[in-house]
Amino acid sequence: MSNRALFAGMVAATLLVVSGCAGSSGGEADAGRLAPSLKALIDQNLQAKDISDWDRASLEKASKAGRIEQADYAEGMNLFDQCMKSAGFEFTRTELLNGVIEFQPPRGKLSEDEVSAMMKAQSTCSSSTNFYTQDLFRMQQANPDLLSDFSQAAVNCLKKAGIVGDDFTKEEFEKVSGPRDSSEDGYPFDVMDPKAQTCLYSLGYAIKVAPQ
Amino acid sequence: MTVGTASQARTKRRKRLAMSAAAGVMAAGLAVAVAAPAQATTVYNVTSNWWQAYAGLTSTGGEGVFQAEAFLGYDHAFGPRSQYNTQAEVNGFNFTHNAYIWRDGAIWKRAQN
Repeated sequence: MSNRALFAGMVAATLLVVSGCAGSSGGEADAGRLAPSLKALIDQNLQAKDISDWDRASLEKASKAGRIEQADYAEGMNLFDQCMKSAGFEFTRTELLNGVIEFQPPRGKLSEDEVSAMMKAQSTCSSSTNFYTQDLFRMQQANPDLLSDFSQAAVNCLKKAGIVGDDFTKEEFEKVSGPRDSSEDGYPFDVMDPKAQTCLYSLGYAIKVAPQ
Repeated sequence: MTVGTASQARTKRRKRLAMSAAAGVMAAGLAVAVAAPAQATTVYNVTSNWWQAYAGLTSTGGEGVFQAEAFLGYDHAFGPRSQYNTQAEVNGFNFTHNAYIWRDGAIWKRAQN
């Protein structure tokens, strides 16, 4: 069995077990979903002990409205961006087709120390501003059913965007995404298409193809 | 990415397999690292080789804040910071590669030491 197939199987089995446990123990989450509704997921995140003041105000507003407004999400991302710039890091900023904003480091040689400093700054800047809001906004935009099976959520989004046909399955997605042996073929669709990138990054997948 | 013909695919696969065998000989110690599930609700994997750097984690939440990172040569991918799903994957070819999962701002798992 390839590493990719093994990993996909592990994810599916674990989430199945977890979903089953949540259901049998009377947990709030529906089987296979992160929460019964976006409002429930927002309220669940509001219970986080480490939530920032900005995030709390943003999510309290979202809880009342039942959704996170684009303007509030963008304000939070701007705060994060400003914080990173103050720390000395300027990332490439891309606004995806559904309004989700992606930050990536510029192409170039980076030492482990430089990357470590970037990651620590991201952690500090994100946790002091908009971590919870950005995490939930991406779910709102690309995973409206709040599926805990992210492969299935990706397939649903890619189908809706017209990137893959209706016959494309989760198993086919899991076969081409993730860990890859050198002998295995790549994606059967243009993974760098903006519509594909919008679905994938919003759901947590940062997938790049290095120029040859 | 486009899909080639069956014949092209077979040729490409044979070439890659030959290169993979050579890489195995030349890059001792750069073996793929596949991690076991950390906790019942969290599954992760970090691996890198000359063709791909990959880090990925899926969780039902509440286990911390994670961020996947992968690089192949000069190309880096940072997955979004998330409680639920963060994956970073760079495909191509380079002798320099690694992949990490960061948890709450510190390296939690890495593909290569």
